[in-house]
Amino acid sequence: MTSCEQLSDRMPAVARGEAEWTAEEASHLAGCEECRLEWELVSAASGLGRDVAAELDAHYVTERVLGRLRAAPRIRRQRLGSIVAALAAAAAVALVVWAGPRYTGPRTGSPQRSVDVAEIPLPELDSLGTSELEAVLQSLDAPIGTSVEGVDSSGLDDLDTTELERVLDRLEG
Amino acid sequence: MSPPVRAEEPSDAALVAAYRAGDEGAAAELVRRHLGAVGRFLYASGAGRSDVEDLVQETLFRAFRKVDSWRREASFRSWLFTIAGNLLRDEYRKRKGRQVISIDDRELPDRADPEADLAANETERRVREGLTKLPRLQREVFLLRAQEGREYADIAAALGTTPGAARVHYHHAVKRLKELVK
Repeated sequence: MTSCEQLSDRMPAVARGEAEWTAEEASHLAGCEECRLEWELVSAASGLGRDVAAELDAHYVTERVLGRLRAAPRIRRQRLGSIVAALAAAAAVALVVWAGPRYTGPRTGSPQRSVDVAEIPLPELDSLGTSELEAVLQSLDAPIGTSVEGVDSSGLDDLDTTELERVLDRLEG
Repeated sequence: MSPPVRAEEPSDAALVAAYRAGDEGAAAELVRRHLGAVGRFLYASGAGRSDVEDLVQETLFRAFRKVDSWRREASFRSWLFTIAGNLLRDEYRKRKGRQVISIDDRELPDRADPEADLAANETERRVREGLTKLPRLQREVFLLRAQEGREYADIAAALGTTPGAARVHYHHAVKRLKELVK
């Protein structure tokens, strides 16, 4: 004997034309108001948007998607400079914080402190080109919170998922 | 279910692997395979008829950009639907809760039996309107099941829940839709 649960499980396949009701199922459907209502919902939902989908131009969508994907790596490369700058700026801030408490004011005849800071190795900077080093210097001059190009970190709470993903994309490359 | 894939046709997983290796043709084939289903899902979820193409495009673009995160626990299509669902939610938020969505897309397709089709169209319109009033998880479970015929295990993998919970969501959706569509 067919139960409502069994009939429910079969509905998507029948609605999609992949199966047909057996005589027993058809009989149950005819006599069960709850199943009939569910069947109406499933069959209506199954057909929803068929005409909309038929209007989609596969060639056009494909070209647009692939075009954007081809452009995406270029965007990532352009972002590399600002990402390096952001990381370098963060390193610089960390250095300042680390060195700050030890600084006791200008001392004549004792320039050793600044030499100490300057001598801390930053091998990442050695590998940068002139333009990238300039970007680092510019980022150090930028106000705090704008080290990632175009994004003010103080306003992250206001961003939606897409915008947050973009920020992460920039940071992660 | 996935669109009919003939035995000699590569699987979605094979096409994804080919795309990751640099084969754009594989991406084009994946677009062709899933474009219609994603469009139907977006429309049934409440996207306006005129917005569907742009949303499909954005969904597929996002999917290919982060294709490495497809873990194959769910089918590729179900995974696409979760991206489409996230996109719709973002669009809704961007518009500050205003209707993304034109429930009143009532253009009638040209069919042979106008009276019967009018009734069918009215039911579809009410179902669609009802779907937009469901919680997201219920709506997506219902559509993955009713439109795509997905098994609960696949739905659960795509939506990050369990098969048992997916079944419960489906039945809640049906119950609520019965009330809304009456």
